[in-house]
Amino acid sequence: MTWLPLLLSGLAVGSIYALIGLALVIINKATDVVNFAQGEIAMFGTFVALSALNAAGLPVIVVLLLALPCGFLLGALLELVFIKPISDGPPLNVLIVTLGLFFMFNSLAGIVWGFDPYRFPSLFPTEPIAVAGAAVSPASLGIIAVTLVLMAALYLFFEHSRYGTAMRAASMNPFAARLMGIKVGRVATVSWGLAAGLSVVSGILIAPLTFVDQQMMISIILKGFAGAILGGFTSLPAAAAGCLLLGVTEAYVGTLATSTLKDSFAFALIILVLMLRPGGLFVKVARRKV
Amino acid sequence: MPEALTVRRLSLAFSGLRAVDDLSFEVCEGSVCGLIGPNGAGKTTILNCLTRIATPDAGAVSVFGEDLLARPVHALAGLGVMRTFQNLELFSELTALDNVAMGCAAGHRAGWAAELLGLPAARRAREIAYARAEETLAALGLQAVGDRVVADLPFGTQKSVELARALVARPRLLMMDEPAAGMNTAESAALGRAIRDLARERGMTILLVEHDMGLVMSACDRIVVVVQGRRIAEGTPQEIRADRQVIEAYLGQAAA
Repeated sequence: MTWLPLLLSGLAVGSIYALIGLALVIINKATDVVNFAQGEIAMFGTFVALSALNAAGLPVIVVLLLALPCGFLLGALLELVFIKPISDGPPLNVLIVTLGLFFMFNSLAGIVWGFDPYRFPSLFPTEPIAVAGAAVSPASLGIIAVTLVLMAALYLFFEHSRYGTAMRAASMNPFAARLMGIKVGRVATVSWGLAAGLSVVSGILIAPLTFVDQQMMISIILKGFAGAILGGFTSLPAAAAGCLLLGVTEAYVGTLATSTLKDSFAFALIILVLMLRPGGLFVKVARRKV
Repeated sequence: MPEALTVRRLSLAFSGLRAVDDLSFEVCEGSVCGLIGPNGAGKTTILNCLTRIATPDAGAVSVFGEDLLARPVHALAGLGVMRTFQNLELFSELTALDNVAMGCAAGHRAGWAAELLGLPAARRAREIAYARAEETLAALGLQAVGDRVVADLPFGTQKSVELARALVARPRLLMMDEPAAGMNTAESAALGRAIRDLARERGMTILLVEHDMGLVMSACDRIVVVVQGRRIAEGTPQEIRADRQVIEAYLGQAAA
């Protein structure tokens, strides 16, 4: 049963990618840009969470629960302060501002917390549990469970709540959405909030397995981005599936080849897939009817 | 009857071309007003000004006594203003029912925080909106397509869905941009009756941009004729039919 722990650890890593990937897709749907600062927002939020743990002595689980609402507020605030004032310009301007936010958070974290890695306390028990004769890490199971719960909540929100439907409507046709009385500007703020909330959760989930430092999210946002494109950047479920698939593939490739090969393999695979299916693995490219 | 819509000296130029030129007219509450003119006369641009999609260079527009130009686009639905589009502006990947339910996005709302957190108030508001959307679809004979994605529906059906989306919120002022395009004579006659009913039975005020003269003449109380952004005539269908200037500038051209 060596495949089971490997599958689960792949799914766990894929879940982290998926949370970031979903955040990227949510913002892209609302404002047509890729938020390059997404990973740095996660890193910054994780540092804040670590400081809260150390200063206030809050239990780890409370910090995890607070991550989504606090991340939401951070993201909404960033949108109001940095994005909204320039949102009437071309999307490229917004893209440059997200790059600026990337460097801002990256340097800010360095200034406030220094450049040395910190340890983050474990969220889940560390003793492996025996499942069908294989040793399974509770952290993997925990990460997968938290991610699945968040995905289910997102699904319910976007498909079965009116605000979620209005957000999708605004992304398809902002012009008509305004005439229906939907405040499209607020949809963008809420999208940034949701995205930042999800990213901070992803940072806190991965932190106990890696370290907390200024560079912790750099490779993760690249993988989240890649996984989302692999699945299909226009659809939340497809993007999440792409990220999970990427995590699992990486885990297996890592056992077969050296871990340095793992990263290049992921991107080689993605390039290959996109040559064959430009819309992503799980999204049909709609041909415009003439 | 009080005026539902007052347009005063409206002007809009696109790089020197006067799309709307010193245009004034009124529409009485509960009446049907036709806005006609040859292609390129500026009719859709006028509707765009009246729905805050285009911003006029000069002029004033008031809707039920409110200064329309002082309001943002998303406030129009709250004033009771809705419109349909010549080329359809639906939420193409949503179902017909979702599209129509979005038509009452402005009303029956529980506050965005409640909506975001899925509080019971939001769920009740959603149920009311969807019940009304189903009613409206059924009233237009569209109950069978409620759960179909609108992009997959035929153009005519999409037009009806768009009309349902405009009607579901029971607007006080409805602007329709070429609703009869692509319809046969029988369909357009039925549309004409439906428009009259909306005005007579529900007191809805309707501004109708249309090329189908049969529909315009039978459905409208008054008609405004626009050529090159300027009003060249206004009156009842009989008066317009007899107006020499109109015949020369518009009907004559259409007949040629």
